[in-house]
Amino acid sequence: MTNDLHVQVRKESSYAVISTDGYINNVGGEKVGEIALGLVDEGYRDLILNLEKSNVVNSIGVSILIELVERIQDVDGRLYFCNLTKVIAKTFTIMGLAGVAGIVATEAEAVAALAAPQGA
Amino acid sequence: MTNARARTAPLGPDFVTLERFIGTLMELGELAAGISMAPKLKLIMRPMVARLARDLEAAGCALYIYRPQTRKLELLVGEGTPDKGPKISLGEPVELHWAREDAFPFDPRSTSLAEPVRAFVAEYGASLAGFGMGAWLPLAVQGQVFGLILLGDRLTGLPYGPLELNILSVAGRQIAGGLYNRAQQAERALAQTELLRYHDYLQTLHSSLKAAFIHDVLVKEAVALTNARQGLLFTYDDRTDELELAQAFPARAVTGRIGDRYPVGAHWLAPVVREREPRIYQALEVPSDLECLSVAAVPLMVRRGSARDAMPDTDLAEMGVAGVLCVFDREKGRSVTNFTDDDLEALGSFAVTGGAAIQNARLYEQATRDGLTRLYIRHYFDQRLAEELAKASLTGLPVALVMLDIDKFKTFNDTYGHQTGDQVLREVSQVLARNVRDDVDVPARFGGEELLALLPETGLDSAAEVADRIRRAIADHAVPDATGTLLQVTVSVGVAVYPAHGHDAASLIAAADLALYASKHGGRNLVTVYSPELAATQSH
Repeated sequence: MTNDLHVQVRKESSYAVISTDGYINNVGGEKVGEIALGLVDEGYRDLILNLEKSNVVNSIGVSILIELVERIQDVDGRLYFCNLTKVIAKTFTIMGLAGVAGIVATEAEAVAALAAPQGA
Repeated sequence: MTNARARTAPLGPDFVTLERFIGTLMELGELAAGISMAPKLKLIMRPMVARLARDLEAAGCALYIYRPQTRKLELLVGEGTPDKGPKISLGEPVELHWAREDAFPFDPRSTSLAEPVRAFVAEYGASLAGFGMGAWLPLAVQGQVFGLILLGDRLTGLPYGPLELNILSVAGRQIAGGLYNRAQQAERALAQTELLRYHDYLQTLHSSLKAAFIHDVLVKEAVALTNARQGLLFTYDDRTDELELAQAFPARAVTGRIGDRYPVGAHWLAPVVREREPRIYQALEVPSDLECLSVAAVPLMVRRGSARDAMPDTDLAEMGVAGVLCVFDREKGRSVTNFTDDDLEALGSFAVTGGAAIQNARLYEQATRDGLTRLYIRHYFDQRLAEELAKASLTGLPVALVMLDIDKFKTFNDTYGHQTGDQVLREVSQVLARNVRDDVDVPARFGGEELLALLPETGLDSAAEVADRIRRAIADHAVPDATGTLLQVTVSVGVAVYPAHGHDAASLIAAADLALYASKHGGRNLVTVYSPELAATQSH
């Protein structure tokens, strides 16, 4: 029995969008992390993580996503989460992710936020 | 000055050196206190590493942070070293040994960490050119490893002496303490989110009486709250003593299909049903196709004959089993582990709320569904029709009615018996239900062999398409009689749309009925959309 998280990546000129479909647990979280860091290695510093089709994230998945945020910060990149369920959005806020990563309602909002100058 | 100190080092530290190191520790203590709150770990660690390198006169200093999920040490910041560095992978035995016995620094030749770090230096020595490796400092406290500081050779050329090693030891514990507090804070936040999640789960669970929705919520939340790999929910039917697979998360968690029924007698979950007690199963106790290490299973209890919650002090004799909730393989870091009694206790909270929710959904279904066809009953249909028409009068959106009658139904009863007649009615109803929208349309038994479907926000063309799809699906679906002979069944269908064909429920139903009878008179197995001409024909 393996994790069947599906991940799609869309690369734009200045950012990349990672869309997940399925359970984000330790296996799924790690898969997302590997893909995100691979994109960072390719030169994408700005990422959007669209969790529209991932409405279940366990605490280990949350820990991995927090780790991912820290690692993207290490390279002065930016990560925006979008389409989070209410519970996941609250979880991220309590965990302090809201202070260091962007949490927005839609992918379009994430794109707009990335287009704005840093610190604006 | 460096040379002067180097000369005095063997004789013991001078006051100036001691004062400098005390200053180092004070500053590191101050910085370490901020680790737990720092949004960016890198920013707070950089001055610490710089201070250590400067005060210990090290050629370089690199701080590696331990990532428990990947069991790797990763370079966070470096002073006098490349800013982007390789990773050190730690296996389980190395980590545990290191945490227990080697929390004190440092001689690379004597610690159990020597081998992986030596291999690391050998492999990546070129990228750390000039860095050397005079000492390393595990960042460990309370038996947990949080990272590693590598220090280059001293600029003085002297080895690290006892004083420097002691200073490093205290500094390491200060930094590890800060990282420990940060981890503790994250754990507290996670615990808080679990409470929040449970609160949300209760709200969601009570927001619907639909069985499928409740099953979905129960399994997903149980899986998430216990950090399980996957979960299954079986409902229990005490009349037939069968378990029915009601939900699986993730969807491919099991080889069976939703709706599959299993006699309890031979089922691996029989002890949970019979003893009405939670239970932890090991791998060998469950079917091999589940491919798991352990399973935690709890019975979902409900007070017999009542929709009320099963309170903890309720006599077990008054309780029945509504289902069994199972979670598989508890995740711990990157791997999985066995469930514990604590997990059973956490799942126990689902036993109370989940059992009551399933029972409420069953009672609701009994009150709103027809026993033979499982379609909605006429009373429920009338209510929903009134609601949809009221809504449509405000939004201006159309509402469609599709009415069906099984062609020559009396013949099935007379020729093959009522049991076959019932089977025909049941299967035609199921085909109808499968061909309308879940949770939007309302398929119902209107009476006898007449069936209806209410299609909210649906115009004439779409309704006619749906009606013809249903007609074709029924014509393509052969129904077996008691001997296995396949019977061909067709339906005649009438379609009417609000507000064009009727201004209220009664006139809309009458319009659909007229259209249906036009299909009958037109030769059966037809769809007819209402038109005013039909009414004129009828009046003649």
